[in-house]
Amino acid sequence: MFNPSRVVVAGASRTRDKIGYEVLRSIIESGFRGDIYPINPKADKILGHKSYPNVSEIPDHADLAVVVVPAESTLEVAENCGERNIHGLITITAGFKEVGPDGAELEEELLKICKRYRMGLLGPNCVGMIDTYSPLNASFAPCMPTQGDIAFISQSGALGTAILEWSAKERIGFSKFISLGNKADLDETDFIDALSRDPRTSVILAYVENIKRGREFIKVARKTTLKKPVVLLKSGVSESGARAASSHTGSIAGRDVSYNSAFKQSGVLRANSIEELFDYAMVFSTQPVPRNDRIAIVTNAGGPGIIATDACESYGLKLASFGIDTIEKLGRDLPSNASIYNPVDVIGDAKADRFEVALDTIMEDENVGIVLLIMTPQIVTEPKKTVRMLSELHQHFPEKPIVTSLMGGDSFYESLNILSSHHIPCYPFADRAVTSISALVRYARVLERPGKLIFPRYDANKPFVRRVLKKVAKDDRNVLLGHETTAIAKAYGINVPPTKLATTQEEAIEMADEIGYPVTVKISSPNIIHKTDIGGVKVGLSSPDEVKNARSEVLVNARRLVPTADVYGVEIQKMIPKGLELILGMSRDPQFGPLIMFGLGGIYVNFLRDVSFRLAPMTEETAFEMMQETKAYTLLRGVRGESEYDMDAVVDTILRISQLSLEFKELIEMDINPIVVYSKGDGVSALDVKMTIDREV
Amino acid sequence: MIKSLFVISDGPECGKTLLSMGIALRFKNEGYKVGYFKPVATEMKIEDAAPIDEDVELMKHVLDQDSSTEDMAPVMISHEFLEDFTSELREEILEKITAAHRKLSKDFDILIIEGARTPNVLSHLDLSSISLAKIFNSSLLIVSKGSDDSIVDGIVHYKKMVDSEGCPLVGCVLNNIPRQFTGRADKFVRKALEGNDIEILGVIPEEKILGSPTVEGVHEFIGGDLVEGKDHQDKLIEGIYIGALSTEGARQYYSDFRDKALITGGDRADMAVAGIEAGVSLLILTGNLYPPNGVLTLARLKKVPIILVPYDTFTTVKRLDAVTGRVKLWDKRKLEVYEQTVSEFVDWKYVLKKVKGAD
Repeated sequence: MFNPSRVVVAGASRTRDKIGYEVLRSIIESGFRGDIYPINPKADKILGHKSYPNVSEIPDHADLAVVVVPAESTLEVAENCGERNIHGLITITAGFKEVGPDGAELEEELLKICKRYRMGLLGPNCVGMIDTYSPLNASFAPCMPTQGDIAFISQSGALGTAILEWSAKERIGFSKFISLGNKADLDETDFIDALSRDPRTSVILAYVENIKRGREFIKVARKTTLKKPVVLLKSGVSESGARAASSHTGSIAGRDVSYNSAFKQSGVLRANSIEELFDYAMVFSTQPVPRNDRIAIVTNAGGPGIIATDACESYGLKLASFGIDTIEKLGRDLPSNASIYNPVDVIGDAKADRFEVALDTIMEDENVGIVLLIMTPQIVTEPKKTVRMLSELHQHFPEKPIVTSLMGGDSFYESLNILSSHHIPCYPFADRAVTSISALVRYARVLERPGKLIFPRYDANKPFVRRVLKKVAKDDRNVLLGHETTAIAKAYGINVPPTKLATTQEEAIEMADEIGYPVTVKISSPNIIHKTDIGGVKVGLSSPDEVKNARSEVLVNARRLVPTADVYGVEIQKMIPKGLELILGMSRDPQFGPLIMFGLGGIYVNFLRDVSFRLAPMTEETAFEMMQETKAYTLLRGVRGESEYDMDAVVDTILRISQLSLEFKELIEMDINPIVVYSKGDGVSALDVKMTIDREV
Repeated sequence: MIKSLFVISDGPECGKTLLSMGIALRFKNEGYKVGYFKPVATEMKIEDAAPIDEDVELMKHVLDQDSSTEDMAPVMISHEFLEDFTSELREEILEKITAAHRKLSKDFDILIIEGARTPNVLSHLDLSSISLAKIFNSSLLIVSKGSDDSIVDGIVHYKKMVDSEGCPLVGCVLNNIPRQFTGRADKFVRKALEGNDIEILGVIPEEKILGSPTVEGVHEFIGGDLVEGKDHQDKLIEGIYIGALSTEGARQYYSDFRDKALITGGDRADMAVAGIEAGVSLLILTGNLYPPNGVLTLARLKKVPIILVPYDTFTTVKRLDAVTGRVKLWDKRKLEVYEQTVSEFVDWKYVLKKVKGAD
């Protein structure tokens, strides 16, 4: 699809303003050097190119066909293209899945034809594709973007064309632009994969509303981000946005936490707005990845310097502490009222030479990884001279990223051009500059990750688990009972207190004797999730009489408060010592698979929400990382004189849950709340384990 | 007099018809000519200006019974039956019932007689089910359903009434028993009933499919436009969910959505899509809000019918409540399931022996 030698335009038109005309014109005007074959049964020639009545009659083999015929004619065109061994089909035509079920069926037929002939299908219902290096504009975008090293993949054609036009004004260049359309075949994952190997692309940007093949995306993105940054904007984050996205795509919008986890784990940088997407693109396409993450700020205005400092802190960025030599030199060479500590304020009357002194000194300092220059227009400021000096300085220190913010208007216009021509990013406001720097720093951390991931594997009694799940399904249940979940947890080496199901009073007493006092009695019902809320749990029972009474009480409470619940009996469980209560959970994301949750547990978990998420499979490092994102981690390290808790045991349990959820796809939800953690070396105990299955899997 | 088994229940909706059908088919398989008789019907609907009993229609079809529906169900009682009360009413009704019974007796070896909704019906005329069983010299079978130990008392109560009339009781069948109760029923309930001289002849576990209406059945009751899924109206609906929460809030319920009907607003594309992906049998969209194309496309792909209704959610739910009480049994799958269930869980051979051996 990239770099074709010959292009077919099926549905080329002689009439101006028709898509078939405009697409052909775009291809021609883009400077495409190969042969172009317009297809139109009613024309001999269009825009100076011989036209053919159908694809079958083109004289030579073509690599790519751009299809703009009406929807109902696309199947025939696709067949013809397949017979002529064309490898790529860009179907701009609309009228498929996006118009309803009938259109979806047509799209399915089109896809079948493409699969049969092994043709890659982009679209349908897309704007097309642009390659600025071929060069080839196989789209109906209004303009050909400037050549650059940014590739942009967009699920919205309209957004894509808007960005292309805006980019010309902002002097942003692209290597490729790809409009995904309905993603019937080729999707974001395919293009990220292809662009990872494209030498003309050094940054990959994407706008998506959903990700079709979640697990494949993670694999591809993980490999890609070790080579070049991938910056992605995903919409449908808010409740209303998700609704709009579902309307648009006819697919589940997907949990944002799943997407966040997928991006974190694959090293994809997430932009939160269109502005951020391109701010990041600008910095990645012009600046190197920093070797250290300490920032030095140089400014001629105190206020913006403080704003930038605040922004650094909010992004978790650190200001560089200058070396003694740097401080001494700055103290010597700058006016006495200048600020020589970071942020360096060269004050309002600074001309280019003073900026040069400050920047030259700072750039030499080994403690400085990144430099941010903030300039405001004062009456004596020499913006052009300053930025020229900066550009030259940058050539002496190519390994240190430089980012600028010229906070003004017309007086900076020419300076902006100078910076752009020297590939130094410039932002209108300091906080935007800092946001972009934070992306550089985050990407530097992505590159520090190991190339090869090691996922621990544990021995587990899988046949036993299979039997339990089968029995549950046979019982027409999708919620497992407590004694079943603890048995499964045990089969995977997760420490659980002994738990048995008693269906009669006699059994309850026998089991309590067997397990050993003290015990807990809990109502056993797949319909009662929050047992404590209905008085379905009695703890600290130390005798047969107490067990008998507790059993009666929980049964009465259940019948009274949840009369429709299916009650199987009561669970008798060994009481465990107190410890720190955490929560571990899993829910199966339709796009990405098992999403593991960790956090502070107990009955208030839904209100405290001190939780973090990652997708399975996980490494030990990933498990630690997710723990570190929570306040619970601080507690685990021990506070107020408490000793450290057994974090290794927690990590171990997280990884076992990850393995269990990968090996049993019928498990769609799991909750261990609480999992009680003890001091270092004393392990954990999973006190209350809940599991839900999908019987149809 | 013809041998007959009179099936009564200790409450409404215990599964008398299906049990009667299952037993009748087993007897038929043994080579007997088996007829179905429902002397007093209360669940009727009007079709072509005439009252019909759906259970009778079903049994006529399943047993391939040539008798007229008037002979199979000679007496239909409306909810306003006292308006017809006269001093001669008892004789009139009894005459109709016995005449029908005589006719059917000529054509069959064994009659399976189904009692009215509850055994008490027409007690005020001394024509309760047990009184009729005595008149016909039938052996009685009690059907009961329940999910706790109190199931015992209804059965014992009617057993005492049967004893006081001097009728032979074959035993009882516990029907539609939740799976978690079957073990307990076999142990404790059996012991309690045997202590009252009552044999349990079967403990039939709950089978959701039997109580579930189809999409077609639901559509008939709630009306509205079937905008998608015309070819999938035989899907069974095991329950109802209302999609009023945010998709995040509703997430904990997604695993329960399978085989249910989901009611939500037509503007809730997110909930509709989530429901379809979760495997609902039917999507009901309220407020006459036409769903976006994405929802329709997905529904067609996943073969999920969509009904658009003009009412609000509350009204829709009220209408749906009425459906579950009147589940049509005319679904081939259900009939097959039940026939097999009776074979597996009911000691029908014992029942046959007792019916044949009765004087």
